[in-house]
Amino acid sequence: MSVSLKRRILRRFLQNKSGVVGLVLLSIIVGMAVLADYLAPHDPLEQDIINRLKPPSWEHPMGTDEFGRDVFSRVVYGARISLMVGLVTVALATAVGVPLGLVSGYFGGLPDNTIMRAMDILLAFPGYLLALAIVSILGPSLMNAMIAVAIFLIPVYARTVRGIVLSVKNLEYVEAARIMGASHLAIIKDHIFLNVIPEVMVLSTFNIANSILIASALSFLGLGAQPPTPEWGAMVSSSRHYLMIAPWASLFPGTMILIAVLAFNLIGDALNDALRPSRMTS
Amino acid sequence: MRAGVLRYLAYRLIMIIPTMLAITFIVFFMIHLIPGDPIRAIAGLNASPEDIERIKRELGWYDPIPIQYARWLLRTLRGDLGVSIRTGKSVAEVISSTLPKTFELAVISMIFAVAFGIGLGTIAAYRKGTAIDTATIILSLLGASIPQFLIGLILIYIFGLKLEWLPTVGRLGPVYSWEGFKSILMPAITLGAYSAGLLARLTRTSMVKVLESLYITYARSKGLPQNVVLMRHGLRNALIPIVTVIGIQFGFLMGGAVIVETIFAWPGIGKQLVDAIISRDFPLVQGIVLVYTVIFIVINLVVDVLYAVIDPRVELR
Repeated sequence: MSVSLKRRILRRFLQNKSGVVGLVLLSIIVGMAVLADYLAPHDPLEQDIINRLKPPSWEHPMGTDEFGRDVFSRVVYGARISLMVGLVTVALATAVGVPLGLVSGYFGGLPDNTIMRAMDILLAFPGYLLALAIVSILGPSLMNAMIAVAIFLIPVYARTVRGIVLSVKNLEYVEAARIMGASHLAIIKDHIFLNVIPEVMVLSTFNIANSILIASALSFLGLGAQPPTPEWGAMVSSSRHYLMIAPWASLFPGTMILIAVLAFNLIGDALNDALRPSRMTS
Repeated sequence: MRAGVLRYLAYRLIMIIPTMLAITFIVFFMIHLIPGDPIRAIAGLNASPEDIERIKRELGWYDPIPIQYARWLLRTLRGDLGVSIRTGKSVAEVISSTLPKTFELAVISMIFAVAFGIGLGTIAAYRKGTAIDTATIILSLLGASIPQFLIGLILIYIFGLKLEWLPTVGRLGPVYSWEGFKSILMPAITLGAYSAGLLARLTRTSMVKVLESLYITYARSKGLPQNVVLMRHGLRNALIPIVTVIGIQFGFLMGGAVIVETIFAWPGIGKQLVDAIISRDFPLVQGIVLVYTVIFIVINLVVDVLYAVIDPRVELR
């Protein structure tokens, strides 16, 4: 990609209001994750039963939960977990889904049919029922929830990438490379893969948002991160029984999930417009 | 109905068979995928070796996999989904007593999502660029990013705990009774929020495009009243691509009910599923996953066929 093209994409991205808002929100979350050790005034796991369910104060900016733990410190460390969940899940799904889509689209025939029918079957499960089924097999834990969400996302990548490959594999320059005697691997790597990158970037940004949302839902149900891990969904789940007397203990972590997911969705929208100006969404 | 539609329907019905077979095999095979000794995991830590042996014999564990699968499939086709390990009740019975309550919740959510989403989307498109349009865009964005359990908790906090207008948990009767209606309101809004946002955004986009088209200008220039232009000429055409989305969303609502039913202690099939997963009650998990997926596939089929019937331009393959 040439420098000027990169610059043009960057400019288009920064001119987009939603992209800038998304970046600001994301930098808050990333800042919390990176500087957690300095920002958090307390140990996120330290209990203080005497000071349980205390409202927000200077000492505890977001109050304390049912074990007297500092909600703000837990929220700050939770940023690490949610970012990690989003990135690892999407990396796993991309690593499996993109090659499947490339092979399926490029070679066609039997490999295409086999892969796509398998993807159809994964997509036949409604919503994140597939993720729930996988967790029920592997047992509840944060790692297993991430694996489940990754498997849930694989068909989305495979299908999208396959579609792009189909649209470019018969273009003249690909044909030319083939005539010049380039191997399949070289054609896929040098000529087809480049076309896939923008779409995969956009898709991955949205999927980070999705996987944070679904993984936090699994944790909320008790099927993901287990106590006392300061995972946002799990925090909402355990403190929600004290909603009447201590709404801060569940509403603050819940709002953090909203901010993180919103950040990636906004960036995804702006990235989509910047990388593919012909398909502007707004 | 056109002959093409019937042929399309027949084709789709035949194509469902391999998918259904694959789904049933995956659901059957789930139990074999449990790491370690599956039966020990299912039976629990307190199970004696005799218990484990008994469960293994009940499941026909020592037979070859294809035979186990064939036996399981035949039993399932007869409507026998096995027995819940935890409660000893028939899985089919548990499902038939809880599924209608989830269905009720999903239907009310869908009505809310359609009314709210399409209404807001239409107004936003008509008043493009105004404050109400911006508000719609922001609301639909929030709807896509907010965790369901956060909406649920905020609603419970405001309308249940502070204002005390609505009950916070349970299903207090059928939806047509006053108490039942009050108890379904918050769960339905929580469940439908995502779909409402999505429908608002899609309706807006679709409607903006339609309103710019020539036949709308023509209808206006004929001197037709504004609401006729908007409803009969505008919305009717704008809604065609949205019908499919509504159908798919209904399937997702059934799936999303898992969270909402947990928050509001709604006695539906989603809450059963979570309880079954946590207690490792595998026959129940298998039964629910299977029934859910079959419903989803059938809904998708109905939507596709409906789409072909509504819009004669749709190409039937």
